[in-house]
Amino acid sequence: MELGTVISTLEGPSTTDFSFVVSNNKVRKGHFVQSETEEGLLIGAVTDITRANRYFERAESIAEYERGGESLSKNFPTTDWEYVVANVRVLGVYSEGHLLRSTFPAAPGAKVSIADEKLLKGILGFDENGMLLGQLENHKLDVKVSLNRLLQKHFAILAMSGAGKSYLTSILIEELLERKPEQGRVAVVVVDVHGEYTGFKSSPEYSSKTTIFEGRKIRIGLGKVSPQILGEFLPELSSAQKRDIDSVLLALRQEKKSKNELFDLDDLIEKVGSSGMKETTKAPLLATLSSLKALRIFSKSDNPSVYELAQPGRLSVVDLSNIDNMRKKQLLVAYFARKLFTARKKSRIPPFILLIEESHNFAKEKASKQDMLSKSIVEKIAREGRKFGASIGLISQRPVQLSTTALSQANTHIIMRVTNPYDIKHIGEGCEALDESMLKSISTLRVGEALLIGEAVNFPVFVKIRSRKSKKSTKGEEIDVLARKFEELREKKKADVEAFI
Amino acid sequence: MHDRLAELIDNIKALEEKRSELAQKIREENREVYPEALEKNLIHKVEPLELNCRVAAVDGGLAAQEFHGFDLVLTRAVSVIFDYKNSKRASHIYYPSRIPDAEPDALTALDSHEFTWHKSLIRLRKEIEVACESVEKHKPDYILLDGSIVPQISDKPSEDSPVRPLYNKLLEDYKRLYSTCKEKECQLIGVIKDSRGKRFIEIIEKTLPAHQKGVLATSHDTSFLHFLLNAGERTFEFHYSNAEKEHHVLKDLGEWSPFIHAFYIKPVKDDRPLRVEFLKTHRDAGEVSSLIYSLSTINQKYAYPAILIEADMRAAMDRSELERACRNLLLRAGRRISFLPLRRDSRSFR
Repeated sequence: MELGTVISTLEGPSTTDFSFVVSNNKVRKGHFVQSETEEGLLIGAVTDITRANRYFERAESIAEYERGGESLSKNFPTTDWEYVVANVRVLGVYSEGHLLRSTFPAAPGAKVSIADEKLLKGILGFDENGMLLGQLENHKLDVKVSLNRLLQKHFAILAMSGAGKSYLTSILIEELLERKPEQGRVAVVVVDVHGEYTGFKSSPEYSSKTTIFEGRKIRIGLGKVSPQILGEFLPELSSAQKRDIDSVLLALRQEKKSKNELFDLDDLIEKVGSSGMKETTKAPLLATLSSLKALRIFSKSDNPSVYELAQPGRLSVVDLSNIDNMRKKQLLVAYFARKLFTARKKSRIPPFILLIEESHNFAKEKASKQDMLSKSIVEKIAREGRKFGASIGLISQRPVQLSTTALSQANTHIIMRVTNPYDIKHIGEGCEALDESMLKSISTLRVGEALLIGEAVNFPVFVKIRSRKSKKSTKGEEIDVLARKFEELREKKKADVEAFI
Repeated sequence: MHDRLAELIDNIKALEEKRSELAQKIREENREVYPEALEKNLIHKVEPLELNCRVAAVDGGLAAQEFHGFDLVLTRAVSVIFDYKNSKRASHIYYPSRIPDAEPDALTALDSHEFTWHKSLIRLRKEIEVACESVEKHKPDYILLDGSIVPQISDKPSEDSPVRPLYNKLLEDYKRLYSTCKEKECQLIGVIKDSRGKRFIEIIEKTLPAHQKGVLATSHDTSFLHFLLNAGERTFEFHYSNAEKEHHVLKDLGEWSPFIHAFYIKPVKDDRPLRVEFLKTHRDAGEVSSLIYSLSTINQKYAYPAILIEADMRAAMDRSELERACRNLLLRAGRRISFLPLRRDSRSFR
């Protein structure tokens, strides 16, 4: 489909950009276009489109002519003066199956047409056997990204609340769960802070592959906690207190090991109480351990075990939606993320993807020591996970609050609608492939549209996210549906009470 | 400086007051007969017209560049044709095209006066040629020119000028346009937006006592008529000149000169009057003024027919068009002495 003709402007055509006057108003921002040049087929992306009309340049004239309530076009052939110019960023020259760097500009007067979709698939780096995320915006082309390219160097899904982060994450999960053993299956562990992924359990296609781990039942086996990790769990302890508790913990561990017994936090507290440490150290230490005990997450053994948590081709939803205490949530994430990573390093579990919803709460850029319990392990997996098949997916609505170390290691960004200017700026600073025009587009993306940028694709692409197959969790229901359900339930209860009386 | 400006403002204010007072007196006097007027009464109310007709408008554009050895002129003329139904623009076409190519022309060894004539004559010839063809091909009911329907005195070169033959050709073009319009029953109208004419003042002066003539001596027709006419009014119709056989240009138009008539019209309150010239072949001043009035009252501060505004925009030559043509010329011709720019256009440090 022909779209227009290359024009000569003060800035171009150059080897990096060109503009064309539009002859077919079907052209859209984000369209991939092509134009024949001496070097081969020049491929580019429409970065912006401007529309001009000399009749509408002078506000005072327009106002004056339209004062009587008649439109300017009644008296003047205004539409004849309209022209549309599209600006194109050159991606390269397609030659013999490869996209090469452009070294010669498009010719003024050359025709521009929509890019051949067969070529585009290869140019953009889509994988026929990859994960289907949706359709390329303005093109009839499936966006299938390679599992390796997406997961190996981690990814981040960044969007404001309600833009479709969880929806997109669900689609990624579906794609991962549908893989056959011969394709290579990873374990999927999702830290679900709002209970948005529990719908997988009630979806016929995925039910058998899904395990929900309710937050209230999750326990950390104290016997598996090293002194170092315990120190991380209790950042408020002084060095002296840490030394003392380390020695108590080691002694307790040896004692229980020799008896072939497990131990929990009560055992540790008892041991501290009966130890000979100074009272000035002991009393505050006991108080701290008691506060830890109040969280009720420590037990004699892990629940679930890391082997239950990470199984090939299966989804484990760590449902933290019933836990309000942020410290408790961070402790659980910190502990199990570390366990997963350690187990993966020793190849005891399959390669996994750890999806962390609201990741800015688990890897905060700026936070007090007490609020950074899970940050170091999230950053560690982001930094070192690639080598061991431990992948992380950061999902956040406040990228500006997310650890820059973790975010910078996420080599693919899937950006959905974001309107907060600080977040947009932060996204722009953290992603060098994003140009000004794309950055501006982020705030205008509609729900279900995403900008895919980074390692997973050769060039940034706008994607219309496909429909999900899995059932939506009731947690994500519309407010009017929830309100209706609430009232129906109340009416039913009232009726039951009346019937009983 | 400020004092001088204040003085100038006071003088202009005083002059305007005098014009206004005189205009008021003349209106109140309500004379029926004026010498040389072709209608009774000084002021006529203009009746709006429901437009159900085809109107054409022609305008030309010009750009010129002087080189060391020759002068380059680019001209373009376009005819815009609107079809009106129930006073609404129903459709439009352009002749010869939406954006006609600019035509280059070059002359050598002209002095600056001759160059000025040359430019103007070339542009006028192009406009009249397009107007003529437009009438022949598209048969409009009215054709509007942006400006006069006769050449201006300033366009007439001296007898011995090398551009005089061009003027003679232009006269033939005008005559062809007049006869075509007459034959095709198309009303030829010229709309002059910034007229400096004094013909109307010459006529009414003859009826005034000597002490009232002073203010008119320092006025153009339109600067005085702004105070005389109210919105929706026009003057009586009058001949372009009272001495067609002696008039520098009209005498060259031969038998057509008595048919060149004119009047002034004030379509809206907040804009100045327009001078309208027309070829008195089919329609009278009343019909012509109704058309101009109906086409011009769409803007209360800029009374000018929309179709002429469109023609002006289509014909206007962009500076970049001239630059492109010059670059093209230099690329093809190579470095030749005749193609060097003038010294004033190529100063070393400015």
